[in-house]
Amino acid sequence: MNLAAIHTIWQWELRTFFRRPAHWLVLAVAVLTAACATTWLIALVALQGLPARLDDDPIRQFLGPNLFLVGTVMWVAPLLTMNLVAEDRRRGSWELLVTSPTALADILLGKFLAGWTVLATCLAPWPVFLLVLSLWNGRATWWRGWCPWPAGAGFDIEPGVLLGGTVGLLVFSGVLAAWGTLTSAWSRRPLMAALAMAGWLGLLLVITLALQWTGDGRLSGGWTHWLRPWGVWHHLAEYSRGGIPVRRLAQQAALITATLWLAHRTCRWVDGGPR
Amino acid sequence: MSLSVTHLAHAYARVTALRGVSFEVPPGEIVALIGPNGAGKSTLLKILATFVAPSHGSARVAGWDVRTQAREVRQHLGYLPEQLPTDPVLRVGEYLDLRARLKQLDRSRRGVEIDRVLALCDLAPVRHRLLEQLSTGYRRRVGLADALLGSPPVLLLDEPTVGLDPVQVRQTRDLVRGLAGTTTVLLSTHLLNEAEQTCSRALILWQGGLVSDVRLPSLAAGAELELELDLPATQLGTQLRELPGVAQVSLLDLPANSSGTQPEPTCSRWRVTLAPDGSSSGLAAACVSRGWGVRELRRCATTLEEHLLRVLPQSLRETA
Repeated sequence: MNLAAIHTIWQWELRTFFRRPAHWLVLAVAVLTAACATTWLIALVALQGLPARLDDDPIRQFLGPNLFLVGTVMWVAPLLTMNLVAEDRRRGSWELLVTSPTALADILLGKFLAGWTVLATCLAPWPVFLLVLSLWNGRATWWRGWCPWPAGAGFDIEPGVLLGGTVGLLVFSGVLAAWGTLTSAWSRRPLMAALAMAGWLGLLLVITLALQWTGDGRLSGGWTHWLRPWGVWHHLAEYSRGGIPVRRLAQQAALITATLWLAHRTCRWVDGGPR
Repeated sequence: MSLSVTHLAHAYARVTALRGVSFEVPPGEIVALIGPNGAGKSTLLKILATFVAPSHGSARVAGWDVRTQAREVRQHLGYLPEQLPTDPVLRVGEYLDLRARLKQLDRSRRGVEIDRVLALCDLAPVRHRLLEQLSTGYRRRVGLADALLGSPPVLLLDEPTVGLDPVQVRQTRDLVRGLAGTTTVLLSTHLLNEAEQTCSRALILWQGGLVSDVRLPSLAAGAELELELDLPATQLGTQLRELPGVAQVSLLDLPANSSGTQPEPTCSRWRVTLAPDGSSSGLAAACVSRGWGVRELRRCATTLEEHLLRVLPQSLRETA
């Protein structure tokens, strides 16, 4: 593993990403969606009356598979990861990249890390807004007469919930980036890669919904056993229970590794070259 | 040998792109790879650049096997593929810097090296321009500059002058010619005059097979002769072919006379390819000693185009 080469690829991808106005638009929409979700959370909590303690259902919904987060991920993840390999293939720069003295594994790792960084940036507003909520309580005062400053007790968010939820989103964006790398490595056309990724995420959403259905005892135990590892949306909720589920974390790390290995094999198969 | 290719074959799905190609290129030689579209030129370069693994056979670049030592091959290789660098948001200098980093050039050497290739390819004026704003010709030169980064001992250039204006074409040819002796260059091109002006040798591919491996200076010097004898072809039979020092003969049409009709078949005109031990004086002496009147014997310089048309199969010649 060549860390310098991985860093170069990562930097190259990010530079390319952040110089495209379309990508800034995607980021802006992702931030706006997170803001909408935060407003929804405030409204939800306001019904209980302030000060409110955010340690169970609302917070789990906010950092779990809610409509806003699912909606954001379903279109942001395919859009941001489709270019990782497929766009290079379409432009013809892939040939030049893989014939440079850098191992294919390093190239894919650099691209995956760039995809992870970008997706994590898109999902970062969720815990950040929550942190802001925990600091801001709905009432402000003027510090030294000119700076707005929180006053009194408002939202009370457990740090464990916030930390767990943040780690969950981070790991989840890693899994998404790995899948994005795989679908992009499989295709020669970015649009096809995006459609494949969206289809895959849709399938996983169906599995998550099926698992929720199972909770009501409507699906047989055998099916539940096979579907449970793929209920990634369901897994997201496990992180916002006030701790970090180590077993789940290890499973998802293994999933990322296996997906990247598959992406490596896929590239070799699609290009037909020695690596 | 800088390049050593042995029985190399490759097939894409149902199409055979290369069929048992073998050749060697010593260090410092500039060799042209010529052939019609679909002849297998780009596939051969892709295999040598380790982008595609060969189906059969072996190839070595700077002594390293393309199949099992791909990374070592890439460390000794500069490659200009058919498609041009098109990263739309990068500037020329930035792009070359990233490429230099991927090629693992030392930080201290990188800046100097980028300046060198920018100057070599006359790209200094566009160093801060975005790649997407460059013309095809400039982008081709950026690709060439990238291939030259780090002074690799072997260069694989796929159509390096396509899209360049006449001045740039000349500069590029001079640049490639200047590499002779220090860098081994395998240059794929459709332009025969480019091959003649730049290369010392040409490999001609057709339908994935190597149909000719010819030294261009010897072609230009005329290893072939035109011979006119006071004897009709029917009487000569195969006797001419059996003369010492003769490798190959072919009967040529006699020139039409002033009235536009073909002359009496009392004489015959031949193209004679000499064997390595043959000479024009030896051929003349052999003809005279057999009592054949020699009307004319002249050395004819053969262009690469003539050679190409001769070695390509009949069907393709008719198309050409």
